[in-house]
Amino acid sequence: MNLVFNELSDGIRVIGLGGSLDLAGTASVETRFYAHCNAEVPRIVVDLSATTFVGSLGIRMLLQAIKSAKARGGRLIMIHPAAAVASTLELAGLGSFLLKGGADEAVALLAAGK
Amino acid sequence: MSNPVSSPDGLAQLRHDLRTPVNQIIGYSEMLEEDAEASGHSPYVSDLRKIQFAARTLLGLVDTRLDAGVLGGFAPVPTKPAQAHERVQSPFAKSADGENESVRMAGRVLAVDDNENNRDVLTRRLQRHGLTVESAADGLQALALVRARSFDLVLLDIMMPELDGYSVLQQMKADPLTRHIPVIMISALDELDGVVRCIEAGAEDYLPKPFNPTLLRARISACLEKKSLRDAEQRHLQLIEETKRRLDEELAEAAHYVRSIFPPPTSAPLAIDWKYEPSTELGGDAFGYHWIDADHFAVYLLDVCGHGVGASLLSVTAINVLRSGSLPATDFRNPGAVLSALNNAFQMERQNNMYFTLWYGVYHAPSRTLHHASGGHPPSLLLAPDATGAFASQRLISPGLIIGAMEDVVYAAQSCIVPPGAHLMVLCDGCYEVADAEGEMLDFDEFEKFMQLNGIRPDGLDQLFQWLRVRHGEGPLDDDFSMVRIQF
Repeated sequence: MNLVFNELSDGIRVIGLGGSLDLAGTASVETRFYAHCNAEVPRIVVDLSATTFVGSLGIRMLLQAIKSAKARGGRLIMIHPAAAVASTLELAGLGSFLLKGGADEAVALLAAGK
Repeated sequence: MSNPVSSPDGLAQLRHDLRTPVNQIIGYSEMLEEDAEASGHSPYVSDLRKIQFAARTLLGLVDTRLDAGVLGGFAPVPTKPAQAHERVQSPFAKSADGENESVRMAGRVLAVDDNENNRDVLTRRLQRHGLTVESAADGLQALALVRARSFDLVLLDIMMPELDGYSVLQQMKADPLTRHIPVIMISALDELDGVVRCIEAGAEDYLPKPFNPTLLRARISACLEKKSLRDAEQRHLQLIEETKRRLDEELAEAAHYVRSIFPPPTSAPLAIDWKYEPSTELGGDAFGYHWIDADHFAVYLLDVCGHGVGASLLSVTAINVLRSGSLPATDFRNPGAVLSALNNAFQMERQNNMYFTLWYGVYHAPSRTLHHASGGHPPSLLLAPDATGAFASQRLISPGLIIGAMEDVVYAAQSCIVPPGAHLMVLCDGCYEVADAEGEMLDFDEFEKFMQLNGIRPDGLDQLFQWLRVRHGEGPLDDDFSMVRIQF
């Protein structure tokens, strides 16, 4: 599991997750992921284009970050999931945090504070 | 020994016989010198050193005369007569480093030598270092002793009658009982070939005679330290294996308990069977079914995130709440209400950050209607016969957030009519999320096709499990497998 982090000039963070978010994959990336999601008012784009699988602990990790962003008045948006990953997230009830559009649209939404 | 110098073997024997008493003189006089210094009788020290000097000179003569006179071109490592620097290096001659005899060793050592005086010198020397010493006079006695008692180190003379040191070493290394005991070979300086053979056969090290007290102590100490590290490693390994065995037993016990709370299969009024195969680490699946009243039948299956006993504790707790109907002011005939109440009761922040997914259905027998709701759980499959007799499947899915994620979520129920002869399969993601050898996941479509063909067969659940096992390849499945099948 690898994690690519990029902070844009206006404080919006883009986190790319590559590999399988299964038991071992989630454990290997969880701490870094939470650290990158931690901000005063988190505005996070999670790019799932390189994510091959999301298991129950991967869902928990994404969910925790979503809740923590929300609790601080921020927001987390997930983009570019592969079909199988999208259906897993939708099944878990996290479909509303997936954005059909791309990174530019997600950044625009976060920049507008929506 | 009629003509000892007529062959190399005879020569070696002669050299051995000549050197042995001289070496003993050196050994004893070194120990006496240490005693003399320790007890303040320093006038004796210089005499004892003279004895040692004379003895070492004699050793040198033995070697040079024998080599020059008999062996011609053969040039063994020469034994130098006593030299000043050897004395300086002796840790017992009031050396500057001050460590000498204050460094005590601990351990059980077996000293093997056929010569009684050699054994005595060696035993006394080792006892001075704090070691517990036993001795053996020949190879057979040595083998009997190492097999009968425990030793931390064996000091083994190479040249012995009957069973020599090399053979003893070979037999020790071939026996699992004695293979781990380190062996230091004792050799005369002209036995280097034999020493090399012994090192190759598993000896740790060698010590040339006459013993240099510093070398003797250093090599024994290194061997004992190595042995004690290896022993500690063995103990830790045993502890780990023991802990693992206990954990496995406890996991098996937990799996046994989880299985024991599942209701037994029934044949009437509904035919119900199930298959539950917990993963090695116990995956957190649990299910149940019961008649709420004369008309309403509930079936439910949940899957706690993560693995292990922690996940199982939550799954058993939640399933017991459903089984006993113990949620405040909740109508258990209403799937949406049940999920909402469960969600508020099991918020993950209060459950060690664990959530679960759940499928909950209620069958109203008089109207043949199935109401169902899902909290992030995979769809159930309803297999119903069509006009041709083939079975078509319907996915019973109602999207809802996983249970425990956020408070006050509303879960909507959906419903369908259950035709006579239909089969309902309530399942977990472990029934289809199985990776093959290349890591490729089976998808729900493939799983559904398999179930359309095999799902209603009496052994359909076993067949599915076998199919997944074959697809997965070697090793146990990563997640629990659980499925409940109801024939209406």
